[in-house]
Amino acid sequence: MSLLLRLYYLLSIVPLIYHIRRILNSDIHLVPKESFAINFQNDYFFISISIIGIISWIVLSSNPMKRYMRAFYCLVFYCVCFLEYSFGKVDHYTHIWLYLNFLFIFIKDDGKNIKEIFSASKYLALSFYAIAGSWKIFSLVKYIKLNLISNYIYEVILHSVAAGILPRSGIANLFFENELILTFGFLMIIIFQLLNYTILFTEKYLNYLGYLAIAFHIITGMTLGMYFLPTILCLLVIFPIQNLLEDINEFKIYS
Amino acid sequence: MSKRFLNKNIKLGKVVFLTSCFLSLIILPSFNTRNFFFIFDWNLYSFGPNENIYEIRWSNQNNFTYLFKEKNNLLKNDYKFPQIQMRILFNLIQRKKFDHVFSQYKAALKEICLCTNIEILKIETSWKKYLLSKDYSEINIEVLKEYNL
Repeated sequence: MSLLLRLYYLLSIVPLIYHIRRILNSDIHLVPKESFAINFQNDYFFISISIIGIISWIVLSSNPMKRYMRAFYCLVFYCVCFLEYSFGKVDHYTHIWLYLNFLFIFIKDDGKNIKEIFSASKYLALSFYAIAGSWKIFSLVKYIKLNLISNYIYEVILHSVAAGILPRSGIANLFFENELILTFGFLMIIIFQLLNYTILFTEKYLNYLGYLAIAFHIITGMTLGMYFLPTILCLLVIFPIQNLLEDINEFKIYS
Repeated sequence: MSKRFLNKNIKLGKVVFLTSCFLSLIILPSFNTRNFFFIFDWNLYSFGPNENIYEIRWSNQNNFTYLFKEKNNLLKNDYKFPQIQMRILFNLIQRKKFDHVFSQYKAALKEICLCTNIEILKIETSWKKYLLSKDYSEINIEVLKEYNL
């Protein structure tokens, strides 16, 4: 299991570099002047926090079993991700890394509870989809009240188009122009997201839902151009690779 | 495979799942202010489509160019104009932080529009009607502010 933890932290360089690259590509001050963070707000702060992030990643990848190092890395990771988005919503691409980094602090140095924590990480990963589905339902209820239900799906999608998150080309255009396909796709997403609540009642579908989440991101990447590469990487570690390692362990025990 | 699920780990997983849902659906909405954790001016939730649309436009040879409607190809790739984070610009404009935008993004906007004057518009319609329609005469547009670059 420590191998899995090491793999997780090795791959965590992807979202870290993703954010560092974006920060370094921007020469504007992202943090509002009136805020507390202005005291640290300069290019040197961004560069130094990036360097600290990479150094702590190297240390952690070589030995992920030190709890204080995991906690420190978590803090630096949060700092890098949050500073970029101090004005708006935090990017969806790294949600899963943010929360799992925090969860993995609770792994003991001797690794006694590592299995429990990794098992819980599956639930945590799937809880994001359940929450997203719930918020969509809340919004739908809100728009029923406002008699805007017919526009709701378009509003959500086209808002992302205007913000530059979704492209307006290729297959994505087919979705925007065809209301039926768009509605069907959106309803399927809500159904998939709400299905994640079933893991509270039965554990049968836990892994299937994890694989479905990976498939969901790959399909939305291919059709809408939303490439959740950091999320897919994390889900790959949490679901198929974890299961594979567990199966290898079981095989070793029984043989 | 089924043995994997029949252990005590499931309890911890369910506790984590419920805690995550409880925090996100019940606790965090109570913190839905603009001063989250005292440090960041950070809106937890995006604005709803029932609010007005805010847009930037400029004139080039008697024609108006609308940034969020017509320049999606610029917005699509953040690295095309590396000095400007388009998503953040979009969020700032929609949250009516116009003065902050023009103090921080002035040079970048000038580079994009190649003009000297920019207008902030308030558009009372839905994103669907605004982005998919080609006729501006059907849409109620109000000029809120003008900025010299």
